[in-house]
Amino acid sequence: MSKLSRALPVFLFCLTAMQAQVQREGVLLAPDSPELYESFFYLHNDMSNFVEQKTLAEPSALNRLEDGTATVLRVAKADLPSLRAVSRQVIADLKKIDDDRRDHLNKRARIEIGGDPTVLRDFALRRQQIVAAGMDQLSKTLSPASWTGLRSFINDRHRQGIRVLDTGSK
Amino acid sequence: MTPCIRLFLRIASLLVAAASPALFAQYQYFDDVPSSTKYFGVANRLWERQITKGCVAEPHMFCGEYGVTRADVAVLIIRSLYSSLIGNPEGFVTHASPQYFDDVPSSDPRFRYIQEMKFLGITAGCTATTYCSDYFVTNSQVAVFAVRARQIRETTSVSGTTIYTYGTVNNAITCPQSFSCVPYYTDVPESNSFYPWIQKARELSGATIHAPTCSNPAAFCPEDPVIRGQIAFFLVYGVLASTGLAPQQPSEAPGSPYLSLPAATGANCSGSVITTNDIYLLSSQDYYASSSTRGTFADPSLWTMTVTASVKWNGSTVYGPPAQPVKTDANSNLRLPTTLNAPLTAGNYLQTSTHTAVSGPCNQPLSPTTKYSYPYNGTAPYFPTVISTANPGSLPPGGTATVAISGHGLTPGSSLIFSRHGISASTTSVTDTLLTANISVASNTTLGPVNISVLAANLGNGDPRANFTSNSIPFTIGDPLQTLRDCINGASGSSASPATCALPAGSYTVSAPVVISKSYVTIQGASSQRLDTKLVRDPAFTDAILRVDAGSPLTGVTIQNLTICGSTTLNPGASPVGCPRTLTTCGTMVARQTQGNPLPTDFQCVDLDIKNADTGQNSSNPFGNTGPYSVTIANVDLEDATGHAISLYGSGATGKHVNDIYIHGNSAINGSGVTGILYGANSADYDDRYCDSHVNFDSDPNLFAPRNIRIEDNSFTGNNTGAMGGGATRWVGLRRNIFTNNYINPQVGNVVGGTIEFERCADQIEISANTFTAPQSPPTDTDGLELYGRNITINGNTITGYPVEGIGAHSVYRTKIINGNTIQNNDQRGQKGGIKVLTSFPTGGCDGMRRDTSDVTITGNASTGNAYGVHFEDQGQPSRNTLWNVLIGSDNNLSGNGKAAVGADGPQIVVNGFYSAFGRSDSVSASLPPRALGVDNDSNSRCYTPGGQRQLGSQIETFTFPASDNAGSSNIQFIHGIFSIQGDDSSGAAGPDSGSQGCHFYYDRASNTLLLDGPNGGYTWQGGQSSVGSGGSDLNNGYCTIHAGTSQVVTEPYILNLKLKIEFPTSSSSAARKHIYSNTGNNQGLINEGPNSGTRWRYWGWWKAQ
Repeated sequence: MSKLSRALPVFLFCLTAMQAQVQREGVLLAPDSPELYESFFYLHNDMSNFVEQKTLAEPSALNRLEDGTATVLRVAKADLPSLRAVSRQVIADLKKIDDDRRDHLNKRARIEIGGDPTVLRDFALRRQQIVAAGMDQLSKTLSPASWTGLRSFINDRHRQGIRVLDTGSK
Repeated sequence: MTPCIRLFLRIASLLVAAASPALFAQYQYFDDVPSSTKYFGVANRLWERQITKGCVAEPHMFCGEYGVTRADVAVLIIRSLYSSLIGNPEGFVTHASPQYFDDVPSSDPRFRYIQEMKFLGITAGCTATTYCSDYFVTNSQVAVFAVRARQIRETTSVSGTTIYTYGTVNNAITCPQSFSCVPYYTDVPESNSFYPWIQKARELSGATIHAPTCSNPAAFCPEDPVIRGQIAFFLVYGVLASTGLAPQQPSEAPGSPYLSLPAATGANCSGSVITTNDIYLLSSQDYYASSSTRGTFADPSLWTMTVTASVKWNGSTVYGPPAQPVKTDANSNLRLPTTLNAPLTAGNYLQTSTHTAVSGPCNQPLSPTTKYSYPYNGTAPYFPTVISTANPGSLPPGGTATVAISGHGLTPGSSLIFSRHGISASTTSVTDTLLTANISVASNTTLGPVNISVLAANLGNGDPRANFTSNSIPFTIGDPLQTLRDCINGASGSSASPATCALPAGSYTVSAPVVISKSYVTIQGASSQRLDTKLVRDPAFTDAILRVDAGSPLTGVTIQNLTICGSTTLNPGASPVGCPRTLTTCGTMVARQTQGNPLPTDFQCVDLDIKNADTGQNSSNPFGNTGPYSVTIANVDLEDATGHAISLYGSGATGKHVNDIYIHGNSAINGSGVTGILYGANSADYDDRYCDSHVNFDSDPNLFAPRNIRIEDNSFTGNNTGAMGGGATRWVGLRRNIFTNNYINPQVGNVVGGTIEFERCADQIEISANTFTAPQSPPTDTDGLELYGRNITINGNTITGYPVEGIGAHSVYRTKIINGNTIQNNDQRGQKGGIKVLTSFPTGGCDGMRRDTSDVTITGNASTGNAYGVHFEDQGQPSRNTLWNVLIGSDNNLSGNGKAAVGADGPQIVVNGFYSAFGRSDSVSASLPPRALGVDNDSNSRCYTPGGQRQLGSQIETFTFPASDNAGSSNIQFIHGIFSIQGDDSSGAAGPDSGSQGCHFYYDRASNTLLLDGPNGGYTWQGGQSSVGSGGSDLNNGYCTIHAGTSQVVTEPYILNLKLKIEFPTSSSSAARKHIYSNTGNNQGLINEGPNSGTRWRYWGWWKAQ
């Protein structure tokens, strides 16, 4: 056996081991946490945009993309429109807050003053309220099976893809 | 990012900066100020020091070509000045009154800066009564402002963050004393009224102040409007005094006094980054991938971050990073290119997102790479199986255990595959993310690593995961814990070369203590990823998981890169770091012993128990040292301790010390069932009268109270009975830690407490730059800092939201400095002070030896949004303790408190100090009546607790009758007492009688004369009179004899103690209970009031001779 052939399995093992080291940085978000739900809405809204863009370019792709989306999200295909509508509303509302917050910061910066902590806290609170309202709406509009499946996806698969990174702030 | 990586980055950046400031990496903070800009460096410097906010927050712009108004210049000059003085651009108290300028009302956001400009003499306004905020500033005016600010800076007396004396401007500068007489600019001759200022500004700031808008390089163009880019040079070089820096490299070398500015800190820099990597196969042809990044920073304008992302296939980039990095703000969703139309190529896909920096004033390096990967077999439209951990991660030969395999994409019917023979498994349950299996290892199996992977079942219906094999994860055959113990026992390290004993990655159930019994040994997990290596309490195990103990003191021990799981069930929900929360034999709680010798149960279920550790050096000032340490704990996560997470307890019984401990490195102590860190000494119960009188208490090597405990850069979250507490400690440095949500569920023996507590004999404590945040819904009246003890410095902390006081300075003896803290929105429940200064508890006030709170200096704090900024308290009752030498500096910001800036429990609380700058909600004066404080006799004491005190005593006793007066003990005119047959035992009601068959006396302080009433009382004073003390005679009325010659009067500054030796003859009615009352009066004719209106007597309980 050549040196190369002896070394190759070791190399591949190391490569595999390295690749197995996924998701090691940071910590997971708590299940059913506002941050997790917010992340989901961002994900789903963007995924919906992706499907829409893809379908515009290739109309015949819609069926297979929606099949795949429903499978990934663990919801019934018939529930996708409701889900999409809620996600879009939530993202639009969040964007409105982002815009308001930006306006606030810019107005203050213009006179060399930083953001008002009370106002910034209020923006953060409003974000949580919007996300909570969105989830509440989903629980009422999706079929029970889809609602269960979606929560399972969020708390399980989607959550596994998220990490909270400590910035070391003191 | 791991602490090690963070540390590496910090060190690396420092090394680079030290090697060559010119090479110091400069981040582009402003979108409109690239590094090619002339003022790139100085604009960055203003941002790093938070002197400027820019002109637009999002996108982040500096607007260097814009003009500067007079209001702008006030903000920039004042922030620069205070940044250079104390490192905090906002660290000054608003001078709200008088309002200097008619056109700058207090509602103006820049009011405080303009007021400060006037207050310091930097500006006189544009007229005597107006400032003209909206006028643009000229080059010459900026020169004046910058030079005056620099004059203030150089004549101000500063120590640390405290300003002692403000400097003054000098408008009479002349050449050649103050600057060169040779004009620097052709258009600023000596005749120009701005000549001195421009000359001086030129010398302070160099040629860089030449305005780019001034076309003549030899001219200054004094009347041209200054632009923001230009003023940055005046500020950085003229006010901040960053000398010797080229314009493009304003970074100062480490060690420069002007680089003492820390990164911005506090809540606005707290936050985290939530990053999401997703790859989904929506069909065999369609591939969705995104990388989303969000920040949760309170003030998003204080940070910037660069994110790139890519997807690789078998190591080759198939979707490259964007051509330009994405600069994110609060939210960013970076979707990778998704234009794929062809079928995917089978192989290993890896999605990577890299966050290169969180930067800006918060200056938090963050450079992790998060990854998400999966193998793809070319057909699967679903997410395939990936596994990540096995728990437990090892089994010995012959062992059997239920092992939990975590991952995702797991399917029913999955089975385990091992990379070698001798191991069998049967799956017991499977969910999408968790597979459990009974694993057995044959007894003759070779020790060493083995890999586990998961084989998906064929579920039919075309499930593409059928028979798919997941990635593999390591598993160990053997007993790593025993290997660790063997390593420790055989270790022979030295200070120069400590031995290392490491645990491989995995989760280990501990059912017997791992005892570290050797010096110079390092115990560590597999890597800096501390979650990779866990020590988990066996449910039936009640002893320590790790213990540092030996017959002689240990030193040079390091414990690092580990997670220790204590398994308490007190914390709701799942552990955020994956520790099990199961009911153990420990139960759910162990009481914390706060005083006296602890019980054995106090140390049950402690996770890390340090019993005998000492370097033996006993340095005279450990705060000035950086080592050595007997035990160093770094990057250790102690989660869910059922008892205390860490015990630092010396023992007088066994002669063991716990000294020289260093806990740091972003260690975490979270969710402890009782206390995070318990400290004290067994069989060495120091009481305050002992440690107060022990002149060398802080450094006596023979004492067992732990000494030299350094706790830095850690976090304490959700500890049920507080983060830290216990008995006496000495030289504790508590710095830069984050305390959140502690004292949320206090266990038996603790009802009201603080996030941290230092007991009455604690000595030499420094609490600095920490952040204390109260529980969201505290079930108890918890406070932030619950402090007794002596020689305590509290500096630069942020303390918010506590239901009672933020800082409770109880019975703190000798010097205590509370300086530069931010104490906000506390005590909404307690309605006392953001800072509360109070005397000791009643037991400390009645034991015959006073425990004053003395020498308290409160300066430079912002105590706002509380009921009171500072509140004096006497535990709600009179005691002989006083508050001494209390200084509240005028530089405190005590505005915006609900009741008053400064308040007190009652008008009669004795406070000797200086706080007139803020007044007091109730006035203190000699016109207040004095107070009778109680009575002691030889063997016991009575305080202001009528109803409960009773006692039998000898026929001859010395009774002490103390009385206090705000104007001093010399203002007391008399003390009047009576031993009365009549009177209710509990309340004293219906008494006293007039001294019939008892003892009724009156003492006049001025004449030192004692009068005794007759046998039937009635104020006849037939018992005679005598002076008190040497030369005095016995006074007798047939029922009692007062031995005046052996009695005495002891004076304290505010308290007069009348000590009377009284004898009740056996022939008297001594069998009757004598109800003891007293009162006192002062030279103004005021007499203390009793508990009921019009009653002058105060009742102290009864006494009876045996």
